[in-house]
Amino acid sequence: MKIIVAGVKKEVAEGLTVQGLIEQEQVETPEYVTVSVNEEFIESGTFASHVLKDGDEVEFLYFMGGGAYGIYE
Amino acid sequence: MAFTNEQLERYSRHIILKEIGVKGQKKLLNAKFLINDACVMEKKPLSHAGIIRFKGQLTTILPGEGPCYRCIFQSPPPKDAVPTCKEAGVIGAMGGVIGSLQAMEAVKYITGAGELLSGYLLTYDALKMEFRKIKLPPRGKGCAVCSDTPTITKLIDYEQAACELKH
Repeated sequence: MKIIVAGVKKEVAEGLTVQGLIEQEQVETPEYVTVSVNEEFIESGTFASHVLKDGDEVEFLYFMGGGAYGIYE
Repeated sequence: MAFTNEQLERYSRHIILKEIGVKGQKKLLNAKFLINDACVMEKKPLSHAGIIRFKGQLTTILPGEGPCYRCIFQSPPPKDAVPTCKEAGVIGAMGGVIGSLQAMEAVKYITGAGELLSGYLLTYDALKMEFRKIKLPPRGKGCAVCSDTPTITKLIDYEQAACELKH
């Protein structure tokens, strides 16, 4: 089936879950990433059970703490 | 919302970062939530931005109108879940790029010109030279601080909570 991940069309297997996509896409911070599917946030506790459908648009929103501290150490 | 002198001293340390290193990193991460919560509670607009390595993000938070920071990230990340700037680094020019965009959002808010990033997360990938504008869900859906039935009604002193954590 075809889905859109971060604006890019991708062919993925039927039955792929959000968790499966996170692993497949090698998301940098898999333990803490916000996922939206069709502009709706998916609860992190349901990543493994949320099955993606043909045409779904998925976005990964990464936490960026920011700052440039540590250079003084 | 009145703060005691002790609270002002403690909260300002989150932002001013007198402590550098691991404690400072924790405080900066937590400061984002503190500032967001304070702005939502006081109904003040907030420009949020973050940068790391070659990536950045930006959104404008208008309490009561669009989603807030906690709508996107419910609580500070667990230890070691995300890289810190000390670990990952950040290119200096990222501050200029994203900082200037924040300034532009402020100018637009003050003048009423154009469209603000309320309801959108702008992301920037410097290596790909790519900006994306990600539409966010509407404000409040289950959000602990900005929904119509918030569960967070007081500022959280994450510093105290962090000191109690055992690593």
